[in-house]
Amino acid sequence: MERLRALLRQTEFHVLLFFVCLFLFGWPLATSADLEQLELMFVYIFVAWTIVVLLLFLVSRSQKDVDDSE
Amino acid sequence: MLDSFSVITVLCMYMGFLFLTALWVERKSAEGRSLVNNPLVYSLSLGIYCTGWTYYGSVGKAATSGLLFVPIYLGPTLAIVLWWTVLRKLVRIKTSHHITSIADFISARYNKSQTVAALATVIALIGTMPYIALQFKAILSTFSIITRPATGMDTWIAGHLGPVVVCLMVVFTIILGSRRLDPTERHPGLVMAVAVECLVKLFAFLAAGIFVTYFLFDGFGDLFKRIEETPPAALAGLWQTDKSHAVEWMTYLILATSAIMFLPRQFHVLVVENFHEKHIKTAMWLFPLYMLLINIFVLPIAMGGLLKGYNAQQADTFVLALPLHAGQTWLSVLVFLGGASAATGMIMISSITVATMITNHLLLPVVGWIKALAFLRRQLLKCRWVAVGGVILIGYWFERQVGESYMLVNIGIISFAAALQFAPVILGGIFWRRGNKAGALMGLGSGFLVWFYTLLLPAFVRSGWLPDTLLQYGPFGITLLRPENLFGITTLAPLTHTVFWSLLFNIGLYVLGSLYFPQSEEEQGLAEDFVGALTSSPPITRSGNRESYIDLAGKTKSVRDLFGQYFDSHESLVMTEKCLDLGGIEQKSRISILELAELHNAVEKTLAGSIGSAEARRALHQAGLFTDREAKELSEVYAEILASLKVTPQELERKIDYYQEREALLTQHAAELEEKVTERTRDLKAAQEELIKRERLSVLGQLTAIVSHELRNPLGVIRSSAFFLFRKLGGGDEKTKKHLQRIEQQVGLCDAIIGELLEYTRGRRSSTLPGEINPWLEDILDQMSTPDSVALLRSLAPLLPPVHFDEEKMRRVIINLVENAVQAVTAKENASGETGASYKPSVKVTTSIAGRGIRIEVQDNGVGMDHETARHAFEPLFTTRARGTGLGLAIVRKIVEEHGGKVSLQTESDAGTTVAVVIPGGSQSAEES
Repeated sequence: MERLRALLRQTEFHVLLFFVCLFLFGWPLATSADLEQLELMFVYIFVAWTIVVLLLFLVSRSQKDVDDSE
Repeated sequence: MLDSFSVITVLCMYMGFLFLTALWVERKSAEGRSLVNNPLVYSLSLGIYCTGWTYYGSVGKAATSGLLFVPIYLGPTLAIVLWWTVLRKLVRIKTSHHITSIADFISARYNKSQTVAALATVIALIGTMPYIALQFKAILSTFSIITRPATGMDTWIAGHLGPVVVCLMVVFTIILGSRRLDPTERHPGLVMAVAVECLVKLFAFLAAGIFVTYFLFDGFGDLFKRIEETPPAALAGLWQTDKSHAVEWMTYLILATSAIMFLPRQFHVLVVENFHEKHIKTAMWLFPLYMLLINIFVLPIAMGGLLKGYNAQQADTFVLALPLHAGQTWLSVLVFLGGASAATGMIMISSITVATMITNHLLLPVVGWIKALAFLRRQLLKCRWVAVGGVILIGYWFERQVGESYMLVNIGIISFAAALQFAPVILGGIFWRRGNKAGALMGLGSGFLVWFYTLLLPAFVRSGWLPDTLLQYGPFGITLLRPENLFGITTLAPLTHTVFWSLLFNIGLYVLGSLYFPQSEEEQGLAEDFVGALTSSPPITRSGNRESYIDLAGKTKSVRDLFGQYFDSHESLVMTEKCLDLGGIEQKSRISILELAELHNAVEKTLAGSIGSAEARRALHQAGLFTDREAKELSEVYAEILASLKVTPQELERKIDYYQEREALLTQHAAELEEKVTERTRDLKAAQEELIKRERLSVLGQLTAIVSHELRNPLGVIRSSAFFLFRKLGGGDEKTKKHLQRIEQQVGLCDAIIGELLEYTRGRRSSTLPGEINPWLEDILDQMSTPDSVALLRSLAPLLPPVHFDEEKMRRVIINLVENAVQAVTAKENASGETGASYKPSVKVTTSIAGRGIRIEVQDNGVGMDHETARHAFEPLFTTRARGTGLGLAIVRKIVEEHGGKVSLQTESDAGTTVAVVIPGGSQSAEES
């Protein structure tokens, strides 16, 4: 668990997460959005978005120790 | 639909509520209890990103372009991933440099340049206007939808709604945002109002979404099924699937990623209004969650509107029109208020931010050049009010002029593209040491010009202000310079075209300018400070070895004169003393060069908080705080320090980093500790006051108990003597008999008074046991004797839960309350008898369940009390009766509070009184006792 926290609090992990999000919400998605897949795309975007929010929650919680130690 | 008057009344009441909330928060802040210093409030206030555009325009975008509205909110989520590094850095720099706005931030990084600040201000001003216009458009157009065609008074309201809203906004913004010059430029009241608005708009939008999705249709699945079954011809052109869609998607993503931090109002709430770095942690997940929630019903509402046969071009108003046309008037009003919240919050924060920049970075430099305008320095606050009014008015004017040319989403995106121009200089400023003033000026300037030429100018053309030929053939017929096809590029959509060219010029010239032109030494220091913000803080250069030869009185006068240019004499004096205090030299007459440097630093920071760092620096330079000799000596001091260290440059840098890091941590801890100490001191003071009060009461109680006890003995003697005489003279004359009875009555009264005094001051503590209230109460009421004319009614709720109470003590409560009630109705009966009015006195005792406890009410229809009497009714020794002790209700309250309960009183003069006693539920009561 502590290892996971250590991972989540590193700036490099944030940068990696940024690019993962860019991939999730960026180019491949933008080229495939059309009417036939509207429902699928809607579900995909909001599920992915929820997962990212959850990850951000974990990232913010992992910063607690750093901040407290400061 | 509603009439205009009702809607404007509801809107005014809502604004009034926000206003009172904000004032209450400001008052609390003034008392040292900041309610805004809270991660939830901070996170909610960031919801100002979701303006009228999100509220109405996103549905419009969804109806015409499918999911293309989503990147506007996915972009911020992307940016938020990096907040712990980027935003934390910005906040730390803001704190150490007293930054007041985005223009101030850029200027502070690039050699505190007034030119850079002025350029950033112009960009912010021009970029914000369309956005403010958008908010006015949202309020005005939705008002006309929700109200029925106007007649009479409504016609006037409908015709003057714009000016009314403008006036409301100006007044509200000035009172809450610009009432005084605050060195921190924080506005707790306004931030709380914005946070409440953000909550309201989320709630309203979700309510509308749930209504459309689950009440007009059968949920998400039903909506998607129906939209797929709808013949394509009916929805032709609504969902774009060509290649430009992907490019546009990415353009929106880039714009939104930068807008969340670099729109002037976002920068203000994110950075300037931030109380503590740790609030960012909560905002990192709560704000994206907020955006997710507010967007989840956008597409369903858009699909619902289309399926109901509404025109896609009017989709901006689907969120309001769907509930309204379904007959849900109050839901529509809620939606309208949500939309108004979204719009007004943005207008207020944006106008304050831009007005601060205008006064600090445009007006003050002009005042510096034109000596005749020097008096304006003392009128800075009033100038800011004028700027706030001006910004809001220009926004409204822009809406009137250009608003009809575009749908909401198109107007908003113009501002996003303007904010994008700040991204390279800010990000470059905090991550790239070599970025300099020349590069910033070139990058910002070129980016702004390209934005203006390729995006704003076409908007003017479409509004009919400029000829169409400019777009078709370019200026002077030069097709290569067509605003929407610059240098012959015709494959990009106008927005993508602007983003591409403006970023290319902006980044390119910023880098080129920074590499070509050298940095000054001071600029290098600032760059170091900004880039290493997370590991550094301002260096400490105090040394006790320098000779104190500088006359402090002269310097103090210079500082006071300097402050006097901007503030009145009292404020100047206070600020000067604060700076002397910060420098630790308030008791000295002569100071060393190092102490003078400290003073200089303190003055610059204090001044920067009010007028911006660039103007503060210029003003200090003009004030000439250092003489030539002093400046030379300061340089020598630095040289000596460097020489004495005897370390390599790299080692020196590492050591400075280490000590500065330690200093930063210590400063932070000291601030937190100070906050805690203040809090504890306040609590301690309150506890001490309570203790003193109790001690006084205790002493008084003991004294009363002794005196009362001593009085009872002689009273007993008087009573028995009177009894003896009565027996002896039993057959005496009537007069003697009457006097003996009077003695007996008066002795009884004295005894009752003493009994009550003893009960109040020395009565034993309540000893509670579980029991049923109703039988106990019935028993007491049965035993009580009341005049025949008074009806003693009882209404006891069945199946009351058992509660813990002291039967004897609570008996006293009931008797006191019923006796009071009987006296009140008897008094009224006597009065009625004199006037001949018909009156039926009654006293009613009621029991009911109150949460986990029980409520006992004693209600009478007697004489009641006026407001003043009611206010003092529970105070000991307060009575309006000629022979009362004034302890009855005080004893009631004391006993009820011993039970952990509450007593309340409702009364109306000549209508009656109701006293309610609440005894808490079993376990709680037991704990209390």
